[in-house]
Amino acid sequence: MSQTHTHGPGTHPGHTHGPPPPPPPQMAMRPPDPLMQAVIEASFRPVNFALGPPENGSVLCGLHKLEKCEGCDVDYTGLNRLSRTLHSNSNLRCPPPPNMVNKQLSQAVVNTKEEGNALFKGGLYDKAIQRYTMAANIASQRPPWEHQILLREELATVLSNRAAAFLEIGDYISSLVDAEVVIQLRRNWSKGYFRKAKALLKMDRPKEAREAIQVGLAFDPDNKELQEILARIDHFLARREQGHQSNEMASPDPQSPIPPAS
Amino acid sequence: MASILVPVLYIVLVFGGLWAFSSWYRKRNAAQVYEPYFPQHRERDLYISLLQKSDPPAPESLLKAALVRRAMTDVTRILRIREDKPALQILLQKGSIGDDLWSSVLAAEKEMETELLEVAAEANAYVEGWGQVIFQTASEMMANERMRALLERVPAMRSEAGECWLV
Repeated sequence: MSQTHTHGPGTHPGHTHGPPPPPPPQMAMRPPDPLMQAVIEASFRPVNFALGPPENGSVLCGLHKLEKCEGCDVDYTGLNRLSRTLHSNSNLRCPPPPNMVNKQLSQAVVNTKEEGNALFKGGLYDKAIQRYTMAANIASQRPPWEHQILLREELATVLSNRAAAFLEIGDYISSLVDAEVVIQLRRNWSKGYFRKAKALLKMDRPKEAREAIQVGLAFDPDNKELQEILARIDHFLARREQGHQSNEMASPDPQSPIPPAS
Repeated sequence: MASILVPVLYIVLVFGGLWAFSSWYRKRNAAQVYEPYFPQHRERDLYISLLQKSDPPAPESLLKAALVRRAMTDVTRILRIREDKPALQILLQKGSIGDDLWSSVLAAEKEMETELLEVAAEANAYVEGWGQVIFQTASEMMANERMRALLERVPAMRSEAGECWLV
């Protein structure tokens, strides 16, 4: 900040330079626009509700005393869950910032997942699936205000592994569903598309598998895993095309439309 | 001999007419109520209703939770406006949408600005400094809740996929 002085260098200034005045208090928040506040106030419609247990700590619909009521078209489940969380942690005065992370929980998820991986490697796919399901449930108990990335990555990894395990025991539908969920959780992660394609191939839907791989490659064009499986699907489709043309329907191996791999 | 009266009368008529039209037009515009861009803000209504409840008063944990839900709705609306506004602007320039819709978007934007300040002030009244964090918390909660809902839908998705497969 430059100050403009009217007095010359030699002359005595008519004022003293004290310490600079304290900066005005930080304008953290502008006062809200009173006009808009009036609009907001005018739009208020009182809600008919009742307080429920514990200690009036939950909201129920006024007519039926239900937490989730279709008749009143309300759903207070999320509100009441958060209220209970705040109520039971009395030292928690408000939801902490997202970067406060529950380390213990992350560790529990990782441990359970590792147990699942060990069982998977040992060929005990049923047990591995149970472990993975448990890990997913532990992860979903994370406080809702923590960074979404944590839950997203944990769930995606665990479900991707579970999809692989389902594939091994021959439950292709569950495998497909898990892969689909993985894709919805992490749209740009190649693994989800890979698992989806594998499940679809097992279900003899190679065209759809090819589409899934292509979507995955659109996000990650250099992914070796996806490129490889795409080449195999193309090869397989070309062979089947040839077979249809030259031969009649007598296909050589009807029981296995899967390209030989992992 | 031409009187001065005729040009004066002419000027009065022309400008009087213009003035009458402009005042009528402005009054009409000011009185016009645009259809709100967003539906009723039910989380805000609930929060205020909870605040007004006196016998028995709502416990603080519930009020805070209701405030977070209110902030969550605000976050969705803010994101929605941010997404819609550029597209609507292009449509407006092309003449595909009318001024009414555009005005209601602008009104909603202004309302949200005030709404955010109000929520932050409320949050700061509970815990000093919470106002800076509450919207961050709200947006994480939105995402986490969506993921949890997805996880809960897995069994239903399985039976759906199974049915498709059988048919």
